[in-house]
Amino acid sequence: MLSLQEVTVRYRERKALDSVTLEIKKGEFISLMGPNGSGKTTLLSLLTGLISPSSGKIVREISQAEMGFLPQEVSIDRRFPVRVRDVVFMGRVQIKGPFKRFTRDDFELIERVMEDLRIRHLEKRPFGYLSGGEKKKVLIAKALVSSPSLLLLDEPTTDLDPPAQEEMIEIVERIYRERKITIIWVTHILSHLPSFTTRLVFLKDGKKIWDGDPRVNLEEFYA
Amino acid sequence: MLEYEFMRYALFASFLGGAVLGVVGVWIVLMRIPFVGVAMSHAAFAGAVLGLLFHLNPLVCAMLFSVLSSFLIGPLSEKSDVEPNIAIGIIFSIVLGIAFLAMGLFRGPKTEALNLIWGNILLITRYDLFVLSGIFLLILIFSLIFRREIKYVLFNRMLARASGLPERFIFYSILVLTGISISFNLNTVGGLLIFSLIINPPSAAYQLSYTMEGMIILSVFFAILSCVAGIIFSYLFNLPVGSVIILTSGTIFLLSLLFSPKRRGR
Repeated sequence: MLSLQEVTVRYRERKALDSVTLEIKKGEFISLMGPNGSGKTTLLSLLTGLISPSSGKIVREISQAEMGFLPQEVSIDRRFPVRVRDVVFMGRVQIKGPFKRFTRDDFELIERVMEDLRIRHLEKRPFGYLSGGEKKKVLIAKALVSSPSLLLLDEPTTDLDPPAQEEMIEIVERIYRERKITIIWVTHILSHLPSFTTRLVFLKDGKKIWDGDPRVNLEEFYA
Repeated sequence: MLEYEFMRYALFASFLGGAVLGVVGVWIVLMRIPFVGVAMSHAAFAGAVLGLLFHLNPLVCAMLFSVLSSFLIGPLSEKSDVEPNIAIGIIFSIVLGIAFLAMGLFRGPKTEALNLIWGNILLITRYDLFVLSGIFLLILIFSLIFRREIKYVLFNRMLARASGLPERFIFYSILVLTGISISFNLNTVGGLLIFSLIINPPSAAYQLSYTMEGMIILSVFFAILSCVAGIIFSYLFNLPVGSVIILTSGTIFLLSLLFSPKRRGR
């Protein structure tokens, strides 16, 4: 559905990604790992179309509107005037465009997704007042209501306490199994690697040093 | 006071100008680039003074300068090595320099140029009202058609771009419409003070509202209230109208800060 061919991204002299080739196939759960500064977020930014490669080629079979994206963090003022329900609705904006009205189906879909992610009780709360874990769940719900075929999750468990981490992994597993969405899960923490990962990609200093079986001795890569 | 035509015009201009500035103010306050308003209002002022100096239409020159500054500010606030607010500050100082240079080169009385600094809503003409109505319609149509996209871009530009929305189109439209709105409101409170009408009403609304729609309604209401109260007080006590408008909007902000439910954490 998406492939990178010999892609390099340079920030001035530094190569954030160095000749990376990667093919993402339908139905995979890819865990993208690597230490801080290894190029994981740069790779996600490429996939989402936020940045362009300095060299190499990206072949897309899906559009940006078919991708759901959870960024590492959304910096927003606590008092920003937007409620949870409004944020989830934003996920339908790219589908509807400016001229189509929201229909009963849209409302039902949004309510169903909020039920699934157990955030229905938060719908009238201002987004800025939520905890870090709640914000991430709302943004995943926003991504899901666009019915994406690829979900990109940048460090979804970082900065969460252990129960919230477990809940996040359980929610994403449920999404993966029930909705059959291709998912790319990014993390730099070994213990946050989901057990249901089908493929592991490891980056180090902008280079891909592993792409395959997730049951590999990861500690070697961090050495 | 309504028996005077100039008063009726001034009140009508308050409604139109208040509505326009109340809306664009919400956009730039929520994008956290309030100084854009400052830089643009002074760019518009510089353009108008240059227009007067070279015997060109000052309003058209104001609009050109203001829109031009939005195309400088946009890229600077996106990918400059300079901190956006510093970049905007530099543009602000340059356009102010140009404005005062043009003022210095002016021969004869500077009344018309000074009117652009201080503005005077009581001198609004029928032509100004037609132009203001056009801007009002433009902002209304843009806000209605792209209301969801605008909300998304104001919430988070990066997420909006990643989801395939025309984020740049919305962002630059917001900047250009802000520039146009500022230029055509120079007559109301003037170049030096206009930005406080863009900042104070939406900032007051920000303290009180939990939704963007609510913020826009309150911001427009506060902006209109500031203008109307300014006109009435200046009429009753013979005070300069622009200053009274600004002081009223400042007072509304202080009151909203004092009574903000958000200060209590919810």
